[in-house]
Amino acid sequence: MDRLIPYSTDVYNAIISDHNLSLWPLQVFVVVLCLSVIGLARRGGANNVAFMILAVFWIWYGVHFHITTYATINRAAHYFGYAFIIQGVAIALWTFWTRGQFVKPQHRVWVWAGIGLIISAAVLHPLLLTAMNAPITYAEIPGVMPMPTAALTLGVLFLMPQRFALWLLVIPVTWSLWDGMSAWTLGQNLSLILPCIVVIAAFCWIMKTLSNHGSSVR
Amino acid sequence: MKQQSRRTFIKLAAASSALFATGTTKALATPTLLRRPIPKSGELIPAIGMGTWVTFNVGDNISLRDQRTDVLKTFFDLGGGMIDSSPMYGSAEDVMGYSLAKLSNTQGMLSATKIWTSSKDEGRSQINDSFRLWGLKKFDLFQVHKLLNWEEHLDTLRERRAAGQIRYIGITTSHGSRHSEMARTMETQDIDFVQFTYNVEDRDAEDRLLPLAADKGIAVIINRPFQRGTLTNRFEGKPLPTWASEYGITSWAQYLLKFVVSHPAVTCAIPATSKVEHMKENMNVLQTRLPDIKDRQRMLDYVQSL
Repeated sequence: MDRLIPYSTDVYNAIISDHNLSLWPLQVFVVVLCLSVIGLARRGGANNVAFMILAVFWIWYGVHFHITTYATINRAAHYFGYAFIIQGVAIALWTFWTRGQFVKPQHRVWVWAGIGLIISAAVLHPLLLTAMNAPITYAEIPGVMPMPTAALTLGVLFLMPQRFALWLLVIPVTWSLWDGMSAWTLGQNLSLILPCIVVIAAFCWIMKTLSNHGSSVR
Repeated sequence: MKQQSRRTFIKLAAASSALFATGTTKALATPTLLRRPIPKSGELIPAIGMGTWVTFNVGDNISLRDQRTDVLKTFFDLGGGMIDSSPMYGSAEDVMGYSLAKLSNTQGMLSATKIWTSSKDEGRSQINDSFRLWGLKKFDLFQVHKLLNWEEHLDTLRERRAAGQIRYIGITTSHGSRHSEMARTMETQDIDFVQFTYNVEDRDAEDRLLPLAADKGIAVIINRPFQRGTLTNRFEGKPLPTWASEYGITSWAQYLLKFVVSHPAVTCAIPATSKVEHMKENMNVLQTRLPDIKDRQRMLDYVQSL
């Protein structure tokens, strides 16, 4: 695994710090936007707005961080950027195709899981790192850094009052696995928490979906 | 860990005696700097160089670039020679060019980089990129990274060598992989340098590659002498043997480097570091006595006992 990570922890942190400083104070607006998504996603008409916000996050992040910044220390970041753009376009297209659909509200457990994921991504994850004496400029928030963006996406999907295609989970879950392995290799154990939460939540959702599908077939 | 074969080592030392007669014996007699000859030319180079994998990949961050420039300055101030990089190492070549442009003293530098692609055309493009990124008009050494499409790339490199743009050519591998293919290439191709992994833990190269290099008169660069920090981390806090001081060894990094460069077929080791203090520690190996065959075995026995 260490062959795939061509930089050290201090360099990665410096890149994040430079990235955050170049965007400040956009982060404040982004966190407010993330929390407002909780309300938007639960409304039949406004949930499309929440999804379009996600689509913008993925595309903007793919171009602005992966391709223009992260690629300076990791050549694979170009491919990460393309994957993020694909995810953003996929979310936008899915939103367009399913607009106006309203099946039924999700079960309460998944609503709370979705809210938990969004709050973890937007508030707890950045606070956790800074609480461990890391500079505030290392904070990772949705739309600005990839892992919380993936967690936010899963949270919004759980809140939606309509069915979503499982393939929308492929890139967020794949990224979470990669991010978790990178954190493990670099010895950043606290950064393992959010990827693990996302992967476990996605696994539970997939099992539930497949189980429901099996029941309806019988 | 595999036991050192004393018989193999003695045979190797005897086989490479001519190599030592040309330069190393004189170099060892020099109290200030340990140098080794490049067999094809007889040119003497410092036995400790520097790698840039991870350590010089710092992107566009000016603060980190300036800090790496300090590391490079220390390297040259202490008599450093070979600097090894690759297009694979992210921004490392760009950062190297930045640092070299800032330094007034780069005397003694032996610039080394690689082609890292399976495409012949992209290989040519990478060569041009390396000249631009380093800000050099002539490279000392170009290597084919991880033996990727070495057949075509060696042709390209020979053309560049004939044109006077490159002085030496070579091939590389690491992590103990593809030793058989490397050995076949060493046996059949006209190359000046080989680069592979060798350290107290990974000693596969002792069986075939090191003796073959000595036999063929090919210079040897050793990467990962610390197994990417694994060995220095493992031994940290453990006591050095009392006899280590006889060889001027004051740290585990020096212990590990001395083991590597005291092999008679090794020309140069290229530890990578991002810290000035570690660079000083590494370069100190150039100024102190090397262990002999008996003490190399003692070094191995000691680390195996830990």
